[in-house]
Amino acid sequence: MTDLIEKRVATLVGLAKRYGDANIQFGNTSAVKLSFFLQRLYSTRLGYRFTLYTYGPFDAAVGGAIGYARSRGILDVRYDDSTSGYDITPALPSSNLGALDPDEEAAIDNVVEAFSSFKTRELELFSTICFVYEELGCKRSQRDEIASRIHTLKPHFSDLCIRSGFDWLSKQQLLSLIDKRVTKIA
Amino acid sequence: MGRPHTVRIPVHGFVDFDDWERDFINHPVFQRLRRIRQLAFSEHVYPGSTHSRFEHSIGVMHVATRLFDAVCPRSPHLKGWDREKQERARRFVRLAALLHDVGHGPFSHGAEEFAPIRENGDKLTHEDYSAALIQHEMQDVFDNRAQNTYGITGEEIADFYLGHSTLGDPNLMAMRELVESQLDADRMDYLLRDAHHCGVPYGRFDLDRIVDTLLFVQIDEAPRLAVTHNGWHSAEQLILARLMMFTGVYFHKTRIACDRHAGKCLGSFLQSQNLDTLPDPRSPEGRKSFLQLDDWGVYKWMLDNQSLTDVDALLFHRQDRRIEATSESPTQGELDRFTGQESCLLDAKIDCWSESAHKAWYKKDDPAQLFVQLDSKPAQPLSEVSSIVHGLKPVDQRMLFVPLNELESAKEVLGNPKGNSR
Repeated sequence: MTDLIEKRVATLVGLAKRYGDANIQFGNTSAVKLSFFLQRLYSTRLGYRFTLYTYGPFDAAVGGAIGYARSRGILDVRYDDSTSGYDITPALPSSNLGALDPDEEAAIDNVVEAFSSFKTRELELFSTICFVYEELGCKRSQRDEIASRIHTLKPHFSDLCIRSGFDWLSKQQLLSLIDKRVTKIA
Repeated sequence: MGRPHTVRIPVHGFVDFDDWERDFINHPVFQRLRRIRQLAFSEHVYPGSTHSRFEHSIGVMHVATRLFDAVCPRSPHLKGWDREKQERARRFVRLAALLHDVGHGPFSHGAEEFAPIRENGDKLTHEDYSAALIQHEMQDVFDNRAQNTYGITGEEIADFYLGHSTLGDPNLMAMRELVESQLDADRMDYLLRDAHHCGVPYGRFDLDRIVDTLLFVQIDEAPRLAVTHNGWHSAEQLILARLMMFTGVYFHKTRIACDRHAGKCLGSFLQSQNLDTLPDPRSPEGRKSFLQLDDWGVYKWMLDNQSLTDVDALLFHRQDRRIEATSESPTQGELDRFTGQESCLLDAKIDCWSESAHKAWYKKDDPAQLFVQLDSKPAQPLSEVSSIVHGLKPVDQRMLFVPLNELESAKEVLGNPKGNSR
């Protein structure tokens, strides 16, 4: 696929379909954070420019891609009053599936397997840890510094909670994916 | 510290600034913005739209200050700021707003096409350029200045733009929303300013009301900008202003054609300077070289190279013409027909090209991120409480262009010359 927006949309459809199959709500925050993981952990070239906000890594272009997919009738986007969040589902059973290459499809499988059981608050924490980990040069020894920085910016996450998140990401070999990507770039 | 200096700009009237801010404004890095137009060649459609990034940047500082002053007293979520920290943050936000565009290249966003590629394959953005220039080329205005009473550094401002964790202060991190979000000072200023200079009535919205109702709310435990119930309709106005400015100005057929010619001119100009891309701001030589580039330099080159097709198009209003366009929210049938027409022209060896609205830079908008604080409920997205915004569809128009000298042949091939008559 040559068009970046088509690739972004195909990725969102892939994520929404897998979440739907597992009967898990796929909302805006999940879309942003999983796109972040795909780009930073699984090296999927989505061309987003994530920067850090108080609510974690964010790029409004993810929302732009969702809006585009909705306007093209590829995704349904429904606001759920009960959860105060969006529910994004594929509008057509097979829309755009198969448009990604096998590596990209595998990356979506992997990111869903790794993160779909977590709530948005945990996704926010994990994505922030990954963001700061890379920012600090991908050094496991920086765990204290990472926890300190995140706690300063997001006091609602306790130091213990951040460290546990870091350890989980490390144990699942997810930080190694960032190491691998960054090493490849270097 | 008093504000002994004043400048008068369209839209906002008198804007005050102090000695230290004047030093930033008078710095060559900022003065260069006088020579970069906000809307590149939009004057081919709206002759008045010749305003510069210089004027806009001063406007953004003014709006950001109004937003800051409004939002702080009514946002209890901004905990931990005493009077001094708040005053420091105010000065910080003013500077960040003032300097946010110093990294724009010639023809504003048009130059980003030629930005160098990072190691990870992504292009550098004008924010990367702004951050690098402020950190390294404006250092003299930060260092050893008696007026810099709060010890603000260029690195901090760069961290603010790039969203780095080194920013430290969560409240300052929250203030990024004033400079880069759906309700930011940049957008508020450029909509009003572009509408003013284009002479169009539809880019306007009630800025005073938005300022009067703006606050931070807690969403998922993080502060987010929102308007109160009383600002609801002004926020709707902002969304509509954005939509109408997009369709009427930013995605106007003539502007799109001129942007393409301008991009080609810029590419040829860079080649004439032995450059494949814009100079890389990560090196001192790159930054110095970048600062030499502005609209004026490219205009001069254009005057010396009038025989080139793209230069001729821009100098004499002989830009490519739109031959066909879909509706703003096309059906699949329309899109298939559009693709078929493009193929027909290509088969007939007509040098056509197409543009899609969703590729345009201003399409990063996401109204779902604009919140309204209702009296007795948690804040909700404007798109859910407003039936007007809820009913809006993103613009996904496609346009097909041909060179002016092939317009008649193209019409014959398509047998349907409706596109250029709008």
